[in-house]
Amino acid sequence: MVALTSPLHDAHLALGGKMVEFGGFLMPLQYTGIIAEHIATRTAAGLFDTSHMGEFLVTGEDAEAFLQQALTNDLARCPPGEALYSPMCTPSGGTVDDLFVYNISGMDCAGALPARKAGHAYMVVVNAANTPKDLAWLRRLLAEWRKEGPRETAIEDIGSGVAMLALQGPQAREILEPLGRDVGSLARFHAMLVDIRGILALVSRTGYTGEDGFELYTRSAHASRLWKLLLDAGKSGGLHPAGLGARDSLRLEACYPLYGHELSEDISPVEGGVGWAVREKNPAGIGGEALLGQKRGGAPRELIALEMERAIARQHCAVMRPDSEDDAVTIGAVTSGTFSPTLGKSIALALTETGIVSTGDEVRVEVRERRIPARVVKRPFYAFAGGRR
Amino acid sequence: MNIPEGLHYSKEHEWARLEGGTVVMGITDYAQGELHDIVYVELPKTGTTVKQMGKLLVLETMKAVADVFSPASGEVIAVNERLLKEPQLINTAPYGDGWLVKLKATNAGELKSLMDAAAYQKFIAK
Repeated sequence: MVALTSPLHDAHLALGGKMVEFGGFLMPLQYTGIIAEHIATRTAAGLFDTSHMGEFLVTGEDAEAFLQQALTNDLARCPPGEALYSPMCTPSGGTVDDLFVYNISGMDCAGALPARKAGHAYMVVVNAANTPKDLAWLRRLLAEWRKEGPRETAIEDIGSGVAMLALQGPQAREILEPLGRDVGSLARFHAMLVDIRGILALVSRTGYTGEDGFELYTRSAHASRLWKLLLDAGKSGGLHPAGLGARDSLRLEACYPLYGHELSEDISPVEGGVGWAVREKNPAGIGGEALLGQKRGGAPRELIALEMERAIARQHCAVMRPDSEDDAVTIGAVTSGTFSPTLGKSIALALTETGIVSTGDEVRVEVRERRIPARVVKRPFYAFAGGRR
Repeated sequence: MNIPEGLHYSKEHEWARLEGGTVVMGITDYAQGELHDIVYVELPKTGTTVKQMGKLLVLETMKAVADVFSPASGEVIAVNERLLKEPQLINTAPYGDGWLVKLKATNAGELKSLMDAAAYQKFIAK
């Protein structure tokens, strides 16, 4: 399959971006270097192109009820102008995807998105690689739901017309505030339409880095102008363009799950560390019964954080409990590992059998047939630095 | 791109310098630039014997694992232990403080099978 390109493809090439395929898209892994871009985001700001993410519109009077059924979080926590994280699960509690829902009911987004103003409207933002699967899943759910009675709900894939940028870091607010009215006062997980020097964008105080920051959605046609505007505005504040490599190491320090690593159809949200997004208030959400059971009685596996003595742990490396001098029992496997530029240490997340290890315990991680000592530490490696507004 | 004269270069982007009967080796400036951000080096034990172009050690970057091959046959007599704490030296000084391993060469004549600076320059320009 030929990889799709972002509307910012030429901008990435002009910046010397090293392009790699991710989720079916050709995206920049890095520009100057992953560590430099990571540190820039932690200390000043990073600008990320996340246009590979998929966007759906779910509209109609029954849209909320439909999403409430499709998701494990509680849509009542997502009034108009707010964004909500939620897993989307199978009836047995496997994760179909994890996503963000934006309640854009009553908002006139037409300038920013290929979306007409509607009384009941949600934008669902999904992982790139899962976009076709999620669309098929939601359409099938809707078709089944319609068998129970007439439903006023429509699903539309608008991803190809939408560019998504993430401006992240302690300087993000200072960079964006002068460009768009009121945007600096946006509260965390809130969203608003902003006129950024003539470019309309849906902007939310959200992100995937562990820093304060914003995610901006605009029509693809405006992407290059918005990208350049933000880069120019941030130049004096230390803003760097940052690629998917830094995005991954930043999210890993913050212990945010990445689908295909900490979450999958075989890994439940409770196991993957986002059980908080499975709500008692939404027991009828698909997978809710199984997952609320896991929350109460314990899931088979749990996500643990590890600091490695040396080497870099990668996905699928075995995690072992030392039983005696030369014997070890496999208790799980690494889901993600990297070098943490912030801590200057090798870190990893792993799924292990529940209740076997606790914080402070020493385990072994098998890297190239060597058993490397690692210590179980508290999650996250890096606590969210954005504060609350 | 820094390609010093007087070194021998392999197609796998290692360099070798003969100092008496000892071969000092590392990876080239081109290789470190392609790899970027080296964060861990798995060095061999001294006393390990290796054949020319046999696997010698492993470098890890933020996103990848790279095998490094030996430019000469011989025995590992020293490893650059500074790299355990400062792997970035390979990025900042690939021909200097970022050297990897010293070998006692079985047959120093083997190095003639490698490229000189001019030939390596042409090789990476392809």
